[in-house]
This record gives sequence, C-alpha cells and structure tokens, in this order.
Amino acid sequence: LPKRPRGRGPSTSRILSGWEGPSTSWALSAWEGPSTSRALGLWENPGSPQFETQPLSPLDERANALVQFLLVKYQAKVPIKRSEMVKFIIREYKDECLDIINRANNKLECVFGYQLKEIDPKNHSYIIINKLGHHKGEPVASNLDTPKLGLLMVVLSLIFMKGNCVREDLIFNFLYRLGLDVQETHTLFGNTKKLITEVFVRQKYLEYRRIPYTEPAEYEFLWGPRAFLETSKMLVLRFLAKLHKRDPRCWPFQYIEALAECESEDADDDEPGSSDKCGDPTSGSPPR
Amino acid sequence: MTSNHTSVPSYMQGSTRRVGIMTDVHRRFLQLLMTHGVLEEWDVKRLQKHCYKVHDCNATVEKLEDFINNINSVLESLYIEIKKGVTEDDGRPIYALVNLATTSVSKMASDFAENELDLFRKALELIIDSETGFASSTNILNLVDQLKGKKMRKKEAEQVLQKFVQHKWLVEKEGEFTLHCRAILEMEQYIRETYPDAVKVCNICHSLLIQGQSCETCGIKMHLPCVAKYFQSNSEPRCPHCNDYWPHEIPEVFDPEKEREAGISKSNKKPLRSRQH
Repeated sequence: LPKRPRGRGPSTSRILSGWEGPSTSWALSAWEGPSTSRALGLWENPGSPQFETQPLSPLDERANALVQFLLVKYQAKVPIKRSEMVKFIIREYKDECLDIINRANNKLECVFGYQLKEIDPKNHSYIIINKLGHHKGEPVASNLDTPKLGLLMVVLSLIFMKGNCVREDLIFNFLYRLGLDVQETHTLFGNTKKLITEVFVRQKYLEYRRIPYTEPAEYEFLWGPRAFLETSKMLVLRFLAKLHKRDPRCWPFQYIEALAECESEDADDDEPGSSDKCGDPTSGSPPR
Repeated sequence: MTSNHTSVPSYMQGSTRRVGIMTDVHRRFLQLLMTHGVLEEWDVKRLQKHCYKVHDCNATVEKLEDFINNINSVLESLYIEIKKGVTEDDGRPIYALVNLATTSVSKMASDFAENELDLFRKALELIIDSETGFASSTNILNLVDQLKGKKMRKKEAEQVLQKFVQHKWLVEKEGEFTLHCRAILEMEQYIRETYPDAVKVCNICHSLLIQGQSCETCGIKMHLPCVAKYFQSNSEPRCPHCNDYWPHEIPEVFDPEKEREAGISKSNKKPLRSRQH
C-alpha cells in the first residue's frame, strides 16, 4: 500500500479537494472535513477509540464512502453521473471505478435494499431505486412529499390514459379544472409549473420534450425512466380506478396495455421480494 | 410471505465485532427511518412492527434496542449509525440515522443551493452564540449580504428559512429559530468540531447544548430533560457545580405512558389514502 500522507485534518482535505476554488465544490466541501478524511483513510489516527476496526482495503473504503454519497443522492432523487462518483469519491482509484461501484451497489442492496441502475449507458448516468418492492403500500414520509407524489400520480395517469404522450397545455388545463392553477404559487407545491416541468423532470419521473416544428416552442410530457422503474401502468390505472370508483377494466385499451406490461415484467422478474404488493400506489389525494 | 435473509458477505466485515444479519425487515426499517429523517420512539416502535408485518409476519418482534444494535453493527463499517437522542425542550426520545463520517451539511447539500447552505451556516452560528439557543429572524436576515454564492434577497431568505423548517433542520417559535432535534442529533459532531470555543455543553450528560437552563452564579448549563431527571423529587434543587440554589422551574420527566393516555401524540401520522370523490 502506498504510504498515506499524514493529514492534519481540514486543511489537507481542502487542498486535495480544491475547496477554495470558486465553482465546483461547495458540494464537495460538504464531503470534506476531519470526519470525512478519517473515513477516506487520509488520517492516521492510531488508537481511535470509536472505531476499532480492522483496516479495510482502500477499494472497500472508497466503496463505503460511495455508499454514503449515494444515500444522500437518493434523497434528492436526481440521477448520478459516473463522472461525479469518480470526481468526488473514487478519485485516484478511478481505474477500479467499476469495481468500487459494484461493491458500493452490493452494500446498498444488502444493507438498505436499494439498487443502483444505469439509465443512460452512453453518458453513464444512474438512478437509485428501491428493491423492496416498488409497490409501496406504506404512508410516505414527510408532509412535503406526499402531496407532490399525489400530483405526480395524477400527471402520470393522465399521460398514460392519453396514449403515453401528452401536450403540456393539456396537462395544465386538466389540472386547472381540478382546481390547481399552475401559474399561481401554491401553498404545498410552490411554483407548480416549475415542480412539474423541472423538478419531476430532473428526478426522471417525467420526460419533457419539445414538439418539433412548433413555433413558439411547444412541449409534451411522457413518463420518465424512474416512473417506469418505480411504478407501473397497472398501479396507475388502479389509482385512477379508485379515484373514480370504477373498475380498471372500464378503460379497456389502457387495461390491456397495463396487463401486457405486467406480463412482460413477470417474465423477467425473478425476485422473491415481491410479497409486499399492495393495491395502493403511492398515495395522495389530487390537489383541491 | 417470504423474507429475504441475506447474511453480510465477509468483505463487508471490517469490524472485529460480530456483524449482524440484515433481512428485508431491517432494510425496510432503515429506508423508512431515513426518509422520515427523525422519529419519536413511539413511532419507531410502530415502524418496526410495520416492517415485521410486511416482510416476516410470523416472526416475533425483536426488542427495539437489540433490533437497532443489530442494524448498527452492520452499519458500523459505513460510518453510519442509528442514534438515539432526546428532544431538548420536553425530553422525548428520538431516533435518526446519523452519518458519522461526513460533515453536517452533506445531507443538506443535495436539497439546497450554495447560498442556502451558507444561510443555514449563518443561522447555526447565531444560534450557537446566543444565550437562549434561539436566533431571531431579523438577525439572520441581516446577514443575507454576506452569503456565498448567488445573491439572495431578504424575502427569498425568509422562504429558505421556512424550507429549513419543513425539512426538519430548524424549528421556529415566535419569529425565532433554533435547531430541530434532528439537526442536533446529526450535526453534534460537526458542531463540536467546527465551533469548539462557542459550543455549550450540558453539565449532566456532556452532550451538545443549544437550549437549557443555566446557573446564575457559576454559569454551568443543563438540558431541560437533564434538569428534570437530576432534580426529580428534590424539593431544594441546588447547582451540582457551585451548590447555589437552582432558581429555575424544574420541568417534569417525560413519561411515555402519560403521553399515550393524553391521546393523539404530536407526530401521529395516519396513512394517507387517495380521496374518493
């Protein structure tokens, strides 16, 4: 093993990270500090009473740090680029970056039940999904998320019902008829238009595409990759059915489409953990 | 229902301690605890029962302390742990998943912009330096010009402060802000490392102190729940340090049974269902 530099804590880490630099890394500065240096093995701290651990291999150390990084990113629900992982965590071990990413993914699965999934093989962009069944029947955490997820379900269901692709103005008109004016600042959603066209899109729940040859530019919405990974057409259909107190089969075309998706999923689904399928999708009432 | 038993592979065992077994029960528990940020003990027990129900309904629910210790032994190599704390104002036991290795703002970094994080740091400094553990909205907003990153107006800063409240980093009381119990749990290490001179510490439990009572003679401070426990059924409370008469009102020790009898606890969230029209 190469000789580890004797770190003096914050200053060393900052030099290594270019913390003083303008643009990059206020985000990186979040990862720097005496404690992080300890975690990355940059500090020699003999006889540290807290962690009487046997030394981990440097790859495992980086994998552990990467797990923490990913957990933070999971909460944000934005895709993570491989280049970010290398830049902030993997750094000088970038030749082994795939190995480190695999190790981190194993720990993520084994300890937390999350999984890293590459959604863009060209740009090497990943998202983290919940392996413990994307059929969540549970109350969602903070008041912050539940109404927003409810809104998202409404938008996803509308897109699905209208043939998987909907013009932007149709969605906003529909919401307006439900009592939600996206132009106004909403108590729960804030800037609703921004929430739908930027936040949900950034989190990969929705895709926002420009309709070609439109001037001024017009846009349409589709399901994003995360929507496909975290929910299903069947769940969305059932959500709608519950809302309207009808049977999903009242919408025969969509029902058949949803069934087809289920069947193709079952075909390559060999996970034993599907026991927590509940009919209830991520819950939330549509906005009043 | 089958539960997914996977023992921890050997390469994860960086610890000399025996590492526990993670099942879907434990994983679900961890996920939900992380999503909530911080939970009161009563909710944690409910959560634990829920996870058993979903993934292993035939198993006996393990004692919470052992359950958590089991999970912590697995988390150890990741420098994360489920930490138990107590709210400063009324002594309720709380739990949060705490990152021992990274600095405080890492969890916040993905939710907030650079200038927002800096606003938080400024508020944090004011809170730590204050006598009461509270910083007034006015004093915080006066520092907007000093923030790193994009320029922020006071009106915007007001909204950012509310965002901190929503995300459980700050608590607001009558126009003043203090740290949410979650922030105290998660950031104690960071705060003690970053502000070693300004930081206050409880004379009884030696943990970080933001709000508490102080002795007017010698200046030592104590958390309200620590005061409650220390002076319980003591008719003549005296300062443990200088023995002078303790002039403040002694709060009551938190009693979870009384709390349940009183009915709905503050954090009792009912599961939401989609509204039927």
